[in-house]
Amino acid sequence: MSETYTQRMRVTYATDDTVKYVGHLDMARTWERAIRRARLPLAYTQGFHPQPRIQFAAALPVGFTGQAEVVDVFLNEELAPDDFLARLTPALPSGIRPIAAVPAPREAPSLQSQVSGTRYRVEVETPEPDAVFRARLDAFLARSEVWRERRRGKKAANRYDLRPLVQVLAYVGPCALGQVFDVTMLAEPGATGRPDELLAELGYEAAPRRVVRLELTLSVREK
Amino acid sequence: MYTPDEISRALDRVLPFVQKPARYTGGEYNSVVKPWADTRYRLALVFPDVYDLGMSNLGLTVLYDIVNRQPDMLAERAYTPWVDMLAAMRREDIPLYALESRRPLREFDVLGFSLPYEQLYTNVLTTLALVGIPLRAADRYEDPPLILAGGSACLNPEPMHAFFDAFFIGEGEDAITEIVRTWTDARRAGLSRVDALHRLAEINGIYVPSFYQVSYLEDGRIAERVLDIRYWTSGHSQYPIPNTITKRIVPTLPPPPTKFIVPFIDIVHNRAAIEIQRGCTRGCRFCQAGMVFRPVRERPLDEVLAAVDAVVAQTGFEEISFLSLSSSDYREIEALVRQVVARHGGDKLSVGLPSLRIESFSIDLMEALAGGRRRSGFTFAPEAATDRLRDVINKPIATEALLETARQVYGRGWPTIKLYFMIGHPTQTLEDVQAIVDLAHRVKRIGYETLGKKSNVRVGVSTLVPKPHTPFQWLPMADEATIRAQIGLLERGLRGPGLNFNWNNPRETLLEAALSRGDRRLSDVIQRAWELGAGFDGWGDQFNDAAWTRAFADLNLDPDWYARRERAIDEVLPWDHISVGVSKKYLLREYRRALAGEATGDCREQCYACGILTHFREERRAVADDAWGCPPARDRVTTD
Ligand code: SF4
Repeated sequence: MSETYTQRMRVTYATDDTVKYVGHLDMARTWERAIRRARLPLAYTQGFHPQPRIQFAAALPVGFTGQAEVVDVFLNEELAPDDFLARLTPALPSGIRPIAAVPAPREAPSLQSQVSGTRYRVEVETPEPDAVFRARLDAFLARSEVWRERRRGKKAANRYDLRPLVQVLAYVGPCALGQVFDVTMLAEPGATGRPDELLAELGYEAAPRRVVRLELTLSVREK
Repeated sequence: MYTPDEISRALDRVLPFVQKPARYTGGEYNSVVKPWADTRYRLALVFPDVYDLGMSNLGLTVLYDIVNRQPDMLAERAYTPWVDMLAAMRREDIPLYALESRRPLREFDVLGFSLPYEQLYTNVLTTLALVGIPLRAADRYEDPPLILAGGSACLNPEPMHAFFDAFFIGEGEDAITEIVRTWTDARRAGLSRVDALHRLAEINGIYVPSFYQVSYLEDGRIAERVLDIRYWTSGHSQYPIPNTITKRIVPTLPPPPTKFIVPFIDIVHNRAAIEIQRGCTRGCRFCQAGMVFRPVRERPLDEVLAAVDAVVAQTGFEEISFLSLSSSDYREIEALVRQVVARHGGDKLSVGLPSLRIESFSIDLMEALAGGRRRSGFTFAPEAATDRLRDVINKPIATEALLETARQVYGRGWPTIKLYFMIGHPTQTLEDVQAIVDLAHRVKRIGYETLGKKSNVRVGVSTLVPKPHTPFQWLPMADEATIRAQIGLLERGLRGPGLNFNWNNPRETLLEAALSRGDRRLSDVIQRAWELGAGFDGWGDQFNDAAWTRAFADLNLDPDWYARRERAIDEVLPWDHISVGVSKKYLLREYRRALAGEATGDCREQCYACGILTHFREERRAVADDAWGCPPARDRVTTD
């Protein structure tokens, strides 16, 4: 595998409202096409159905925007990061804006497996005054366990404890929509916290919301 | 009135709960967002079906490109929301908006609807209601934008006459900016809607239905069509309203669009399309496109190749399709295929070449395009299964030649052959239907002998729907019992391993047939069916047979009368005032030859005086001798 590419370029990028309803698979195809337009030397997997070698750190849930999403693009030629960005940026839809590109260690594990945590800013529609809303967050934090069920497709429901997945929960203040809080969630294989689950637990199952993913924490840090 | 911000906020409430929300957000690469306040002329291009279908419409792509090239004009897009989104928008009171600016469609100067086929009629009403303007042109007073339609279904505009302020007949490339400017300037200068429509009617190709009146005989046929006396004169236009509206054409094809909007979601045709040729000289008698897109105009090879390069660079699409009614007739088809493969073979680009003739040369072309990739299906449309019946419809191919081509297709490793046929051709007998079964089995046997078990045959059968402006326009469509019996025969015959059979719902076919040759009275039927819940008629699972049946009954009209009645040659047809440049005399001659079982040749070899050169003499003179499939005007004086 290592022979099939020359450079692993790690791109940090932001997404805005115009692309927030694009699902993950469609987003992957969007990147592939942008890279084709930019004529960047994208590496493909070997075999009968070659796949473009693009690795996303974590799928962004539909409806969310991201401030610092991360993707690895595998290339067949070595490129200067500035050159790479200069070609890529105009080839992406305006709602996807690259912020930085850095070559990543070639042999590091898959990007997805490096993600350990995610931080979100959540605005939720609510008529509740600041103090009441804040008390709701505190009450959640005070609990030692919060069992919920998650259903995936047709499989049997899966019971899990949401509480340890919520690492930091901080009230920010009121906003035009209602109230704002930040939450940092654990994101490990088999133990990934999701803001919509937290909102449901807080009593806002269907309330309109705006969620921004502020940051992804990668557990293997590169210098 | 909603602002773009308010619409965005309202969307956040509904989009998390609908399928494929990225249909409704815009923001795609190559979509054009112009500054609203600084752009004088504003057009919304509307496709009255879902985004997934509308985005694949090449006509709208062409117009979007042309209009957005104008510094003082903008064109944006809108589609009919799918049923889940429709319900959500009605519930939340969100008006239909354009994807680029998220402004309500009501704020545009012109709404240009694409109307390629009849199954979209009820969606037009759904869309107008969601825009928030009166459904009927007669109820629109001062404010609303011009509601305009273009596309093949407008060649019989009468069934939809009540809902559109104006129709554009023909090829819109040269006309679209003229239409938008004329209407907008007239309205901004303070002209009333009627006076502005008068101005519009001066443009070649524009049909304003409210300027005409139709009266009927007791048996339902049209008595006469006259100019409505109330609209004879206008203080703002000296131009007489025309008795006949002749389609507009472009003498040469303008350069093709290359900056295709690249969708986020997977759509019906997730690719770019380049038109290599317009028109067709074969003269198949059932085929409306072959009659109405005359004359043949080819796009020069260099222009096509340059467009391919530009599309690859500007869109990143993995697939490009070359469009024409008959790819095999493009003179430089071989060079085109060779050069595209040479230039882009390494780009992971796949190239589609539909509408190939049934001959071994087509296999050579497809083989060159496939390169080392997996070979899948090969599609042929013989349309009828006997030599005799193919002469009747003027698609002469010998059965033996077809079988020989099939042998070569399988022999070169393509496992699937798709064969398309129609039932209900004039003079067709049960033997002709049985011949479909026999032919499919013969092809299947060849496949088995050549390629073994993995070979297969797929047979698609539709019912002939006689269309306006074709030699078959006077013909009755087969009755339902006959169609069902014939489908039953096919179904029993086309069973077995390696055989697959598909057919169309006869009820949906009846609706298409009734609407396509309908008159003005069908506007009420369409509206009634829509009120009763019809919509998305082209989507099998949405088709509401009960609503249509009841709507016809409520208006005391009979779909069979429209679909299954033979018209007398001298009957006034609802579309007689619309001319595509092909004369009635020619259609009639072809009709009679069909009934006599006589084929007519390809008019590239010999002109059959269909009327095109008479109607478009000036356009013909303006271009080079080899620019059209028709002979240069001076060579021949056509008399018809
Ligand atoms: S004018 Fe003659 S050559 Fe031209 S389309 Fe008609 S029949 Fe064919």
